Amino acid sequence: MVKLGYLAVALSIFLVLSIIPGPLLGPIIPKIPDARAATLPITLRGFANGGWNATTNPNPTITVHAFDTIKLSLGSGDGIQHQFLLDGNNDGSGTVDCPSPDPCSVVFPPSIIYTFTVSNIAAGTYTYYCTIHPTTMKGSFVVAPDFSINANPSTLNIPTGSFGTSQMTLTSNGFSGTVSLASTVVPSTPTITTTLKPTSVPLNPGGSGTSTLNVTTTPFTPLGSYSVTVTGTSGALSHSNQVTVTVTSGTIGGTARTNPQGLTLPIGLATTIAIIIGLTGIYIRRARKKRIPQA
Amino acid sequence: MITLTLVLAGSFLFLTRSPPLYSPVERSRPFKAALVDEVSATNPDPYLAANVTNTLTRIGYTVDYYGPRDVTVDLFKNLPSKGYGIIILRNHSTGLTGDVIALVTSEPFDSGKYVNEQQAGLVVEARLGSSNTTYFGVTPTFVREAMQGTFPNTVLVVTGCAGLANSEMAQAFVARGAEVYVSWDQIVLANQSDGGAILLIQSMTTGHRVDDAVISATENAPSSPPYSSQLRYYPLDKGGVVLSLRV
Repeated sequence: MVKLGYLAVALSIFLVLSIIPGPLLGPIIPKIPDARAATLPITLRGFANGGWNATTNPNPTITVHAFDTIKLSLGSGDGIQHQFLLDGNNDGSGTVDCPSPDPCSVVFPPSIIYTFTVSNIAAGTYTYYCTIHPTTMKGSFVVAPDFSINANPSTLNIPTGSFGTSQMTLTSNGFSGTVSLASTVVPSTPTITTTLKPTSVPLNPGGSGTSTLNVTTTPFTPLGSYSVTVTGTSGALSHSNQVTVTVTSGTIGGTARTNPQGLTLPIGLATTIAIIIGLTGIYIRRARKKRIPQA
Repeated sequence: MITLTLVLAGSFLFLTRSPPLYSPVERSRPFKAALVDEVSATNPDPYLAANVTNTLTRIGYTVDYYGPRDVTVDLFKNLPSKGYGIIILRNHSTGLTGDVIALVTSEPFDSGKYVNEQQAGLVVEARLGSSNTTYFGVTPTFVREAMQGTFPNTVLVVTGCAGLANSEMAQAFVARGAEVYVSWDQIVLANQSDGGAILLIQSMTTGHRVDDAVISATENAPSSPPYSSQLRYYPLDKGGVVLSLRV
């Protein structure tokens, strides 16, 4: 009966732990977070003998998704020098390929923050090292398959009553599946409509696909700036990109020049011509008067 | 007594505001419309073109669209004889700074072309903004003296800036046979102008008189701060003009 009581208490503790959000468990169960196309902060402290994070979770497996940006906080736990290197081409801990294809930090201490993006690393499992202590300080670095979404152009100037287009390019890194696309406009207005053609894009590992975003305004669209967010979703994976739309309008007036210069005689020239014509007239009349008596 | 007063007042309002009593002149207006769209070279508005075309088609009009390339001095010369009952002139216009009101064409200005017309003030050199290219613009004198034919009781909607900053252009079109001329009295931005045109046509094609349609369109069109332009019509005694519906 007592044993059954212990079992019930243990079960209760397990159930309570299972519903506590992951971040709250952080101090209890060291865990390297799993991020998706985001900036992912990771802290690693170097210990030559015990490995990375030796005092909490030695040489932890780091799992990220393709296209994630990793923000590494690197420090020395034992006071001696270390250098982080991700072996992006699986050829060992040497620094020959540093910084590409092997992202690598500078030697520390002092503590540093080293940021790199895994967009150029194919989905798969790699090893990260300390280049100075590669035998004891190494762990697995898993790049999970994912896709990215990019807009070109990322800004559109659209007159009222008109439209603009931007091409959304989806790129797979090890990802295989169909991505469904949707768009939203902020601030929301019924006078802006957006369409995506197609609304779903199949992707193969290493492949890419496109969809055209069409943004249409009306004369009643308030002038200003809008943000159109295009979100691609496939299962639990979801990525977005934004297109900034500026709705403009111009005056439809102009100015007229009624007397084009090419047709206008300068005042001086016109006066001279008038005087010449007048004098010629007077001369002709006088000449005629002289001729009449002679006839 | 109160009942009799109410009946009389109701009858009066019905007779004065009810649109279906078309005048003999109204019946003769052709069910043919034109959208002359010079502005689309700089401010394209396919929404307006589609909306106006659909609205007019719904009440039985056929609509001809003239894009920027078609909007020449010659088009204006022959416009009256084309037999349009409704014409929407989506043209830039001048007259904002006290200069003559001219409807701008897409024909680039050339001092060696239309020389006689230039000298007589029928056409002018018009500049849009700070652009180096200038275009021919047609003046009220052009409408009076150079246009050929007569407008068949046409309803003219001039969507450019300041088409009714004064009544010169309106008078010329009316003298040429247009029944009523609707335009803005100050500077407008394209969105106000286009929104106003859409609302005006929607209102008129649902049986409203010109005077009501002008007020409603002005009130509901987007504004163009800092300008406070309003749609107006000419002549003032034509506020009761309505469009007949071929449905």
